[in-house]
Amino acid sequence: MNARVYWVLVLVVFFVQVFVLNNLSVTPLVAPMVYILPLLLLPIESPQWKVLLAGLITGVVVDLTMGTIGLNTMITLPVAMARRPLLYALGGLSPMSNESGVPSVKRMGIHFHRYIISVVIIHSILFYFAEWLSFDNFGTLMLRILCSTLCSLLLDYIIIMLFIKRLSA
Amino acid sequence: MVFIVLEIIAIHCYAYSTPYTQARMVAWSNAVFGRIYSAVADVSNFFSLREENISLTEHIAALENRISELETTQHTTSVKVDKVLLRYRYTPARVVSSSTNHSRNFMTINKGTKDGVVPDMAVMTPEGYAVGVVVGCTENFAVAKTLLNVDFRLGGVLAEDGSHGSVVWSGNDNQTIDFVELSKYANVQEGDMVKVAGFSQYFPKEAMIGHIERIETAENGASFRCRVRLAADIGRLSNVVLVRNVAMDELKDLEEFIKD
Repeated sequence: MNARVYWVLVLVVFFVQVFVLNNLSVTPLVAPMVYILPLLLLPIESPQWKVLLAGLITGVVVDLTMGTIGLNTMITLPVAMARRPLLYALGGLSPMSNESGVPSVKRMGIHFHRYIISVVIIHSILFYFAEWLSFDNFGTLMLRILCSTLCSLLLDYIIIMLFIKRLSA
Repeated sequence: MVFIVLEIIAIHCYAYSTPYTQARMVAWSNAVFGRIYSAVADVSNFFSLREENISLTEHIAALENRISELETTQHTTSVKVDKVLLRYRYTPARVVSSSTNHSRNFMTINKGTKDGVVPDMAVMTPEGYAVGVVVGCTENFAVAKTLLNVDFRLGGVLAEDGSHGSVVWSGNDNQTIDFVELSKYANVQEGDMVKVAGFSQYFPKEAMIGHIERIETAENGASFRCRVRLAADIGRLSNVVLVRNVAMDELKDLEEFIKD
């Protein structure tokens, strides 16, 4: 993994999330979350403590900027913990294969999309349920999860396309 | 094990957070990121200067008309106004950042304690539409809880009828808000104006909230629940006016005294 490119990715994602997406005023149904992307693109062989630490820092920083004390941290930590099992379960990797490097289509084939889409969906569902904390307006909540997940995925893929080649170099 | 401990701490923090602690956190982070927010806001505000100029010109024209009306109706040469009568103090400010796509939305403003901004000041548009209330300040920035926050509840009154109710946001749409607990005997029509109730400690009497768009009977059948289109487009605001109720401290002291 190209570490310099990775840090540029982290900064770009942070800027987009905090200064653009958090201030979107189109509709409350669309609140895209792209900040977990650097976590998903950490090298496959990254030790669990490193991923957990990255999840903790990501969650705390986003909480600080959004004023959501604990909410993002609470959701990002399980996502960080579930990353490795999901890589193996959905990413088509085997714990025995000693596969290393940045998760990508080149390395994982079509399974890469399954991995990214699944984690983004899990993150969105957990986040919006925890933010809403109520089953009133359940239809609106589901619509919000759907619209925001689609929007997040679209943005995630744009960022992946921009960075993945340089990141894997 | 580390994960479980961290997760419990995070859940605990979230469970015990209040709108005020959330606002304080945003205010604190603005001390770090505020300059960048301001720079980003300046760039986006540049593109809306034309609309802003038109709006301000219209507002000035309306104020001039009002002054000329008052001049013609009051022929007395001069009236010395006692300071006691000046109940509200206005401070213009710019919006640095504003969220509208979460369930608890806040607005960051480029004025802080060094400009005399304090918590509980009302936030309004230059046209006089209600926007929110300041809940936290740092030296250079203030954070306001806007009407688009599910924790925010404000007393409202029907301008035509005088019936009271409460204004709350359900989180469905950032252009509309709900006017609930309105008496079923109220004479309410679509298009009626909803204003801030006169007994609000924060807002000048009868600041405008919006217009009734839809009326339905509440589930309990005892009151109306109305959908109100907000007068202020909160997500697109770049200028606001902070309003300080000069008598607020006195009122609070009095209320405390009565409680004791």
